[in-house]
Amino acid sequence: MKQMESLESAAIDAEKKQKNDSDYSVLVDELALTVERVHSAHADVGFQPSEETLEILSSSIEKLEEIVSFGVVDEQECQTTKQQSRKVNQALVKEWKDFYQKKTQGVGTKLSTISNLVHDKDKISDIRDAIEESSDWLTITDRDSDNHTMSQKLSQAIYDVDHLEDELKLNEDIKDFISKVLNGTARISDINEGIVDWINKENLQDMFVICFDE
Amino acid sequence: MNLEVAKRRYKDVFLPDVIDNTDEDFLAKHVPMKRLYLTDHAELLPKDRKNYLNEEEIFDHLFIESDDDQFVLVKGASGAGKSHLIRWINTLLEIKKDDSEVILYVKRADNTLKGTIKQLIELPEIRNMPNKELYKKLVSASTKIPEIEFKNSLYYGFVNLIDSDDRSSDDEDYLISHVDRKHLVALMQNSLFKDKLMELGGPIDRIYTKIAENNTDSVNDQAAQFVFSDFEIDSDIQSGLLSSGADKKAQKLASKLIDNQELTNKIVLYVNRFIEKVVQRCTGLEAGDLREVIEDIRQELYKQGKKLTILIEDISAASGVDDSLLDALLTNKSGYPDKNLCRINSIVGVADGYYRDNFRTNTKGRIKKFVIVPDDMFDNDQNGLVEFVARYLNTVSLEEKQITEWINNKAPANLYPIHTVTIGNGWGECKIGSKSINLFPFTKNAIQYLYRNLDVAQRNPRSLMRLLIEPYVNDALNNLSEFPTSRFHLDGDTRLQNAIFNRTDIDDNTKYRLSQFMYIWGDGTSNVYIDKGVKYIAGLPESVYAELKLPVIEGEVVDKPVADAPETPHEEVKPATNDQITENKQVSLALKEVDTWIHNKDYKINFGATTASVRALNNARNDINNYLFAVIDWISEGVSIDTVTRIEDRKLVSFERQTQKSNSIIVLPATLESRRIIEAFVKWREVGNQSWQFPNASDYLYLVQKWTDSIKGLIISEVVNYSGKKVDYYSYAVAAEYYRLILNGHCKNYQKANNFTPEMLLQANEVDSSDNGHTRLWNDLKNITNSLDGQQVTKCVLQYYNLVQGTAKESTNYEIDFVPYSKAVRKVINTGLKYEEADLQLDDPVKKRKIISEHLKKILDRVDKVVEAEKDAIGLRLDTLKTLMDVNDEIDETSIKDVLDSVKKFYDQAQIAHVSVAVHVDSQKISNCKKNASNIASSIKTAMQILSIEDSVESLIRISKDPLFSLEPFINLLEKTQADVIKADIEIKNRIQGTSPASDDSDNNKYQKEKKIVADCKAKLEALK
Repeated sequence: MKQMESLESAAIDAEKKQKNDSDYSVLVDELALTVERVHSAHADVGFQPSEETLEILSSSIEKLEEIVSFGVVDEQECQTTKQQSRKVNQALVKEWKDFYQKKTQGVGTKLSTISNLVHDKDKISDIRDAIEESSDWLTITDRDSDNHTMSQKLSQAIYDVDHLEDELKLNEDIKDFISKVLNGTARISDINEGIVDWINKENLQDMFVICFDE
Repeated sequence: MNLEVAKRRYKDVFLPDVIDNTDEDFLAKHVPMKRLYLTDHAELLPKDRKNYLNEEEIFDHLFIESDDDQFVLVKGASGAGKSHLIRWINTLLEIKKDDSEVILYVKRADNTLKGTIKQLIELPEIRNMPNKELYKKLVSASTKIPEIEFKNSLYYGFVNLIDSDDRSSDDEDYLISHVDRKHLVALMQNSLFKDKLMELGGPIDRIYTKIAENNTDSVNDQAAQFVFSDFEIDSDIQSGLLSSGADKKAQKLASKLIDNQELTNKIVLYVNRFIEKVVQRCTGLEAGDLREVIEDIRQELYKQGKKLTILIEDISAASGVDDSLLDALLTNKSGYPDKNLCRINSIVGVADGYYRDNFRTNTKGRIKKFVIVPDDMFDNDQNGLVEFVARYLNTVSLEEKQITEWINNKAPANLYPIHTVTIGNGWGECKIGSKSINLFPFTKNAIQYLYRNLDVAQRNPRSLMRLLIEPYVNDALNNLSEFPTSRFHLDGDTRLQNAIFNRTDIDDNTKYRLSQFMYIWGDGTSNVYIDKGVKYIAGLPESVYAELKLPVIEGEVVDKPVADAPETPHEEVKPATNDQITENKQVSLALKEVDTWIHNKDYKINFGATTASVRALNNARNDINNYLFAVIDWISEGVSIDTVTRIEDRKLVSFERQTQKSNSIIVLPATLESRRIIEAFVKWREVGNQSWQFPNASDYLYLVQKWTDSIKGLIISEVVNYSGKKVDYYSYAVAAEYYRLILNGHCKNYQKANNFTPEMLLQANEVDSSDNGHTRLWNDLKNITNSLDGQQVTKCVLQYYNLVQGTAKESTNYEIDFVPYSKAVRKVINTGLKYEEADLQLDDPVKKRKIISEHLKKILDRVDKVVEAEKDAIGLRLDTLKTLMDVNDEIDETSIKDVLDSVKKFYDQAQIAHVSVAVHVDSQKISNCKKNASNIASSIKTAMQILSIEDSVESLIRISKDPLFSLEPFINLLEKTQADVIKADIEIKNRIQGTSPASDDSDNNKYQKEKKIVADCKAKLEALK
């Protein structure tokens, strides 16, 4: 009955058909992009959408086949699927945001800790940029001049931070002390012999000052 | 009485008619007739009654020496003694006549047309009459024709004359209308009606026997004419005419004659007018023939210088030519001096009725002398009555030679012979002059009593002889040990009778004989007196009782009664007062009937008759019934009032030898005890005016109570049992009522009949008249259970153990005696409502009980068929449903709703796509089904359960949930949707064919890119899962 309806509708309005085809094509592209984003995010940084979102996305992809199952675009189904696509994207934006925050929170802390210790300040700046640029879900598959997607860059940034930290060979007490200093909560009592040795060894005396809490 | 002589002479003396006796016997029996009237007019006027003459005075008046012709009509009722008088005149004439007198005496025994003419032409004085041989030939002519042929000639002679009767309707003599006459012809031409008129004893037969030779000895005194009953039409004849397809005209007259006495009488009179013509034509005798014969005879006698006296005992003998004969006899010679006719003196007897109906007006006018013989000759002449009987008794006891000797001596009264008594001394005597005749086997009392008990119309000499003297003489001669046979019912004071009937030392027959004897032969009392050393009881000497071997019941000793005062000439028998007659009439009539019933072993009482006697007996029978029903304390005897009510229209009591079939419990035997019981109830109604307030009522009441006690046990046993079985109609009523409850949907919460409770029957349990999904068979059976019979059953279930207050037989305020009720109902519940035909009491003789068995049988006969039909219907619908959706044990409300959603979606889409079936959408129905989804699911399960149950009663109970009622709209919706889907498919196919763009390769590759992308997407998504 729907096929008949679609055929009849299409026969009545060729222009509408063209528009429908166009809309369909756009919808396919949209959904394909969404799938690509999910796919990339998953592959690069381990992003896993919720089951519900994934179900709707799958259903929408299924619908794409049904929409044109009668040889013409089922306008109504197309509209419905478009709305569904929007819902999926909205859901994914929210879910990415949550994922991104969790994913980048530790990285940012590490980066702050090591940024004053690392001499290559450009490197630090690049990492910061890469993390920041990947915060937007809608651009997650955009590529830079080196043809790297945002998700790939995020993945690389995370890797780079870890690598820099490893190179500084900081033990846990030092990491804890630096962290407290960065938070402004370090006390004299936090300084121990290992920390003093590490400051002296790395010639970092000028970087630490003592002040009174107001 | 001289027993030996009487036994020998009995048959000769008691011949059917006085005329058949020898002259000797005739004279010996002759009692002078004292009250005769000589008038010049036919009907006796009150003033005439004062001037009566005796027979000798009449004779002297009639036979004075005269040369003038005379015609005397001796007129009186049949049997009044006309023939006797004429014969006596003849006898006296023969003694006193001179030589010139020729006497022709035409006897009744020769009372046929030919017999009369024969006697005339065989007179010795006319031996040489010229035309004698011709007349002889004429007379014998008709004897050659076979009887049936002659009768047919007579019959069609009437039809022909009636059909040809072209007189104007305005004619005064023309009694019936022209139309009725035509219809009468049609009726008489009908073979059915002809058979009626031609049957033996019918009018044609009567006419025939008057015309033909009479070879029988019987008195042929029936008039040869049509009578009322010949044209009396009953429903049998009418329906016979209808069913045989008789002529419409015949049918019309037959219908008109029913209950139309006036028209019937007119037709009888009308048809009778043709008798003379018909007879004359059929016999070949012309109207003038007889007149000519008599004229010839008179001329011949004139030549011889003789005079003619004709004595005709009965003119009706000459039917057919009577008018001609009368005309000839009335022809006065003074009017025809040239004819040389001898003097004629005609003494002609005629019955009143024949004179009135058959004599023509002009003939009547010509008759100027009448001798009227009254039919109540003995009413005021008791001595004459006793003498009449005594002379018969004397004659039968006399040797013939004694009488002949007396006759030869000119029969002087002083030498009248008296028989020698060999039996009957003490029975009383009749004094005739100086002589006494023994009255055995009568007494004066008996003669007078029996005379009074004769019907007024039968108080004439012939009837007295036949009905009074002959039977009792016969009894005395042949069966004295049973004398007197009870022939009359005893009226009046019944004290003596009660005293006799209450005796236990004598048998019923003897009681009857004794009471009859003391009442009729005696004075009706048990008074005792002694006269000349002889003991008299009831006025009869003790030896008489001994002679009859009757016991003696002695009552009060009284003085010898004063001898009878000499009888005054006109002493009237004192009639009972009006009050007494009124009071006792019904009792008397009823008991008379009972006595007849007891005495005649072949006599049957017909309660369908409407005679007063039977009505009284019927009332008595009903009163006995009512009395027994009322007097027995049924509840105390453990019998439900309902059980009693059911047999109330059954006669508890019937009579032995009653014509109506009866299934009564008690059959009253034809005995004296029954008579007393019946008498008690007849008196209760008729004398006591439905109370025991009447003389001696306490005696009767005691008798009735004693009798009731003796039969009570049997009645109660019969009320609660039949054919050795205890009546069980209540169980059947309960079972039938449960079936009613099931069929009306009051048992939906039960699964098996064994789970039913007695309380269920006490609910309102209204009739369910709402729509349902059941089959016609189910609804038919439901209607049967709700029918009038069903309502009676419901009533029975509730009334049987209802403790009705007061005298009411039923009440709608139920106060159930629950313990026995519950026990009785549980007995039925335990059967599972299953009864075989043999378990029912279909042979119960009490209809009102049997109908309950029949009602239950009607239900049981149908249960299996109803269940089968219901299962078939349910199975069919379930199968249909299964083709429309998945049906299984797991089905629930959601399943139904899903299906309904699909349906809705289909129609919605159809609407969007403008598919024509969209108009079929019935949102209300879908919505209702949705609301009812739970019921539908439940009904599907119930339906599936019903199909799996084998037991019919259990099935019936489940079916009463009526699953189809819920399912049907749902299945219908699905069926309709299914049909619409098919229609829509066709429409869609057609429309697609009409709208699809031409396909080409480019179309085939259309959306390839998108499809590829989708495929990639699917692959990527699959990787994520």
